[in-house]
Amino acid sequence: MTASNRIWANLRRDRSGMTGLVIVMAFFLIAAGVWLGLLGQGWSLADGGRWEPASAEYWFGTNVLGQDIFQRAIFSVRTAFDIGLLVALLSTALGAVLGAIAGWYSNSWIDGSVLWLKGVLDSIPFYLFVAAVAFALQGKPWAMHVAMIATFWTTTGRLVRAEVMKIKSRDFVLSARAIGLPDLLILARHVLPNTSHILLVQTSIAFVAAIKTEVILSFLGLGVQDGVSWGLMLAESTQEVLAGHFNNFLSASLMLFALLMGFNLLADALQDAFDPAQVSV
Amino acid sequence: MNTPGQPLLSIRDVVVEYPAAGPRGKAFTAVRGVSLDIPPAGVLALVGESGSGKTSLARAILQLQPAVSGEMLLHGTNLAQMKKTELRRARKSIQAIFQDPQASLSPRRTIGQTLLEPLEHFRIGVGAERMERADKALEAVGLDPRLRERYPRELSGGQRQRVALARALVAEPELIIADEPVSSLDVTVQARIIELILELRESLGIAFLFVSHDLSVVRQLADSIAVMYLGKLIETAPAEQLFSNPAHPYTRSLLAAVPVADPDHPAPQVLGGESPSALTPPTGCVFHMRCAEKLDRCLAEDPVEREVEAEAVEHRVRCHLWNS
Amino acid sequence: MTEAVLKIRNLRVLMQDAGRMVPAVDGISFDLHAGEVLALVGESGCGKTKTAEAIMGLLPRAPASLQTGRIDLEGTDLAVLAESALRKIRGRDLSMVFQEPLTALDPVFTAGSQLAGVFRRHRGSSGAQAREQSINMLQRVGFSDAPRVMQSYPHQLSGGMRQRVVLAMAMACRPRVLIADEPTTSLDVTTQAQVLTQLTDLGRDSGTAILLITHDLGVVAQYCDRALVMHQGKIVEQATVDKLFRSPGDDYTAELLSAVSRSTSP
Repeated sequence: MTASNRIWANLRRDRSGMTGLVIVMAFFLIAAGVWLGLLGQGWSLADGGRWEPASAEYWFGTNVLGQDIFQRAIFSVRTAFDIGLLVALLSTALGAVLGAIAGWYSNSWIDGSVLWLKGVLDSIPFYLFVAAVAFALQGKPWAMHVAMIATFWTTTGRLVRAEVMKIKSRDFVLSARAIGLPDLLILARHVLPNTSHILLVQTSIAFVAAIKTEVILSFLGLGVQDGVSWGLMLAESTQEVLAGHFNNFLSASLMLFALLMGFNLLADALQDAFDPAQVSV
Repeated sequence: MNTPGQPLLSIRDVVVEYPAAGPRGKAFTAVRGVSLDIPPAGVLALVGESGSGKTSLARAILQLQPAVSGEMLLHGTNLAQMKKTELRRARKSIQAIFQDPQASLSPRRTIGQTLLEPLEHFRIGVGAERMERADKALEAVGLDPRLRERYPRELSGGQRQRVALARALVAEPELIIADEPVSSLDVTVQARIIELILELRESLGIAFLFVSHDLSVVRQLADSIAVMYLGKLIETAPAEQLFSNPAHPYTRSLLAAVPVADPDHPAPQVLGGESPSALTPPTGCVFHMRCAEKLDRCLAEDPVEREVEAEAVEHRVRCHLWNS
Repeated sequence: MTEAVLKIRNLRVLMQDAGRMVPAVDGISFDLHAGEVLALVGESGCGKTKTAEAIMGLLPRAPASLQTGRIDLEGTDLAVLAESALRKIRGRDLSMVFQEPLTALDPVFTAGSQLAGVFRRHRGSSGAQAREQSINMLQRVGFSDAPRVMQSYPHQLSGGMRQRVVLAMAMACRPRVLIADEPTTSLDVTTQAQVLTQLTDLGRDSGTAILLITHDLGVVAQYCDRALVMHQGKIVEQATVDKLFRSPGDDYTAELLSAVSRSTSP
């Protein structure tokens, strides 16, 4: 059995993992629907009454401006995926590259510099860092993305570095060096592909972290500027809850919870499915 | 090219050191001045136990580990002084196969991709011709060319080592350095790989430097044997002479320790003392601490290499018992 | 013939592999007698390690593995014992030495404290008694400087030295049965001679029955009294070592012997 077959077989047997996968896929389809202009397009229309309760027209009711909460919640799925995917993919890629280089040249000045950079970034309180980046980028909408990518890569980097240090002494790497292949080619062709189990799991973890971070940032006003997200909805809802209107709060939190739960189940199952004891190289 | 009688690979006084790890560590000298010759199409076995330095020497020849001093001459030209294109040609001439069948092949690449890699890197052949060469190499090692599509995990240990051999062959080398290639294989599989190596040497004239700790394996293939202990070459001899007339006390202990698959054969003899730490080598002869026949000289003076008998120039030993 | 200390009857072990249960050990039966060295020999995948793990109760829990058959240690069936009861027996009456000396010892404790721990746990020795017994045991496995080894951490010892410490721990309580699974495969040949000689000497001294698992026929010939040849989960031949080498009864045994003899003849 090839490696991917075995991983898939393991995953299939894990019920909570499959549940997670189904949930994530469902949300992904919703996000795709929004991207394609099929769903959630009316998120900014303010044509309802204030705080209308759930009805046939407004499934989750309306907020203080008369906007359709359901449309906003649906649109927010796309926002979540936008941020989640971008940050997850780029931070994992950055972590993989820097981690691989640090691991390959371990105990040299190259390794030292990467580790130093990691140490510095890990020590800065995250929200201060984001505020500083947002300020420096003068409020551009992707300030938040840059800040997240710049800090999330460190975990992947550390894990990949450790794995590369183990892989580089394996015989197939020695063989590649023995015929004289250049280092970077060996890293790209022979070493990094063998860290894919780490990268896949880290991507899903980063996705979750990005979404959670966006919620807090939006709450603080540092997050999403154009469009709507669950974070913004939650921020809006704080006042509303005091007035006894829970729809905004509930829809945003429940959807957020469902997506994060699904992703966590999937990430755990992926980690088990990639268990080296069963899929060893 | 080769002048008649000139060795294919000549190693002179090579020293290999590993730098100190951390501020309080010591530099560790794995190979302390070893000289060897490998004739074209010859099979030289490099034998020794852990800490002997044999693997470090093999890696130094492959330029995987820098030699601190000494020379390595391929067809008379110093490997360390070669320019890039010359070195590339040298690398093509000297191929390697390693020990661990679990990790000797890149796990995420098919057999075909693994075989094509040296062909592409050394620019041998063009296009479809490369595939043909890969197929021929697979057949030469007794494997079905259709295995090209498979991944290493789908093959047995013996099959993987054959693929490793095929990969070495595809570059049309003059010398293959084999570092414990059969140690992790079952004895029946070992026997077949050894036969294969002998066939390849016959039909293609490839020389082998066979690094091993297993004397019974070495006996089946070597023309000559070099025995290392703690970084020094303590005895070199044509294979049969080493087994019938071992000169150095360590060689004799090594031979006596091998359990023979015959219950009537005398029991293996135990070599006394502890195996030495390669980090703090003894003064004088490297072996004196465990030697049953040591003389006073042995504690202070490092013996010089001499012939065992005046006429038998190929049987050399580094021992005071032969230095009188 | 002395009474059998360990009687295996119809042992079957099934391992889970991608959803299916595959037989690793396919119905084997044999006896192990006090003071004898019995070789369990075969190539990789023949089931010899799984046999050892089954006897020691070290197989992964169901459904990853399934085991049937009787493992009788002087009247007690180990196969049906609860883990707590097994734990009392392990280390005291039934010991095992594994292949990999690098991982057999806990890296954060000294060799001495690990060895003394065995005496304290199974023989109820006090700290000082355990220390003395440990030094004694280390001398018996051939260490000339036992006090120094007591204080050393595993990473300060060579592979052969670690394996001898593990051997000391396994034999500390003069167990009825010792299972040694390829104990010298990763060691140099000169160290192998040292470890195996000590192992068999100690065994004969204390009347321990030794099951020596190996793929090396030389080891079988030189150190063992009887041998079991395993192939694909079954025992294909059981004989004294003399008979096995002179007139093997089974084709597979003959094939193994010829592969080995090719390597030793000029």
